[in-house]
Amino acid sequence: MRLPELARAALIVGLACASALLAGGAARAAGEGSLFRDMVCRDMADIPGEFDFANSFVGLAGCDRLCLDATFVCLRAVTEATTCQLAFANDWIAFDSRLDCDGLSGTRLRDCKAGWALDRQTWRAFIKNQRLFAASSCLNAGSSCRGSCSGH
Amino acid sequence: MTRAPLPLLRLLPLCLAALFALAPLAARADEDPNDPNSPLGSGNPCFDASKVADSLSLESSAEDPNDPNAPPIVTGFFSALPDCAKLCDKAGKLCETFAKRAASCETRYADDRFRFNVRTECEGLHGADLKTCSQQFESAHQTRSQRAADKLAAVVSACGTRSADCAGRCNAAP
Repeated sequence: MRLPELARAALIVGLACASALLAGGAARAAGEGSLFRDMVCRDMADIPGEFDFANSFVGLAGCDRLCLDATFVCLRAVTEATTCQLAFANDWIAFDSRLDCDGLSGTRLRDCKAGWALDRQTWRAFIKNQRLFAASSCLNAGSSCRGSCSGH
Repeated sequence: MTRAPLPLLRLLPLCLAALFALAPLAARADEDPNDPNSPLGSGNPCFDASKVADSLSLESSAEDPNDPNAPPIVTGFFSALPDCAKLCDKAGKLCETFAKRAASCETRYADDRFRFNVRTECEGLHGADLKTCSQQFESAHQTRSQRAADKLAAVVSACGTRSADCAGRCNAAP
């Protein structure tokens, strides 16, 4: 499969999945309003693509060290985005559940809170998985960079 | 209100694969035409702080049941809650927190770009030579840092306005 076709296919699957992920929140946003319209953090999956240092240090005496440090910058950006997204998920669910469960009592309140707790757990797991993939991309970029140092 | 279940788990592997495949294709979010040649790349891994306040909703709109052609009725997100004003205040502070987070990322990344420019372009230099060499990158560094600070000031103000608007709708609530 050529790259544009692969990208298109990935985009379709990604959009379908994002819709599924946000289905609950979007439904609430349309019917009830919500605290945020959009995400206020970077998507971890996009972060490694913002870096391009594979050949930046070729020929320099400190090439290996620079590659390592650049990898750390990439990893730090991924960690920051992860922290931001985890906070966003917590805040979103805290506010929306507060509204959603308002006025309920007894079993219905318990069920309402349990449902939101499950959403939170699923969301956090998704974020942490994304972090792993993004961090892996940073490490791969670092390896390519160091490979360029020794291959020169 | 019945909560919609999240049909996520079945699609999670596909989703992660798609996001992973798309990562290298992502558009560069904030390329600076005045400073395109960072050894780290020309992209920006930070969220744009100026978009935080606009992302805050704090209101919902619904069709007028008596007149579908009338403009939608806008109500505050927390209007019906007894602690509405407190929640609006909290939402405003949250807005500030996310704005600060984004601005801090931009400031740190400006420092990173400067540091890597100096380490690559001024390698082996010391003293006055190093200082002279590094000065060529100082302007872009200052511009980026200042831009982050300016964005933050504007967004903090916008967060305050949104929070006050939200609290204003509390008073209008039945």
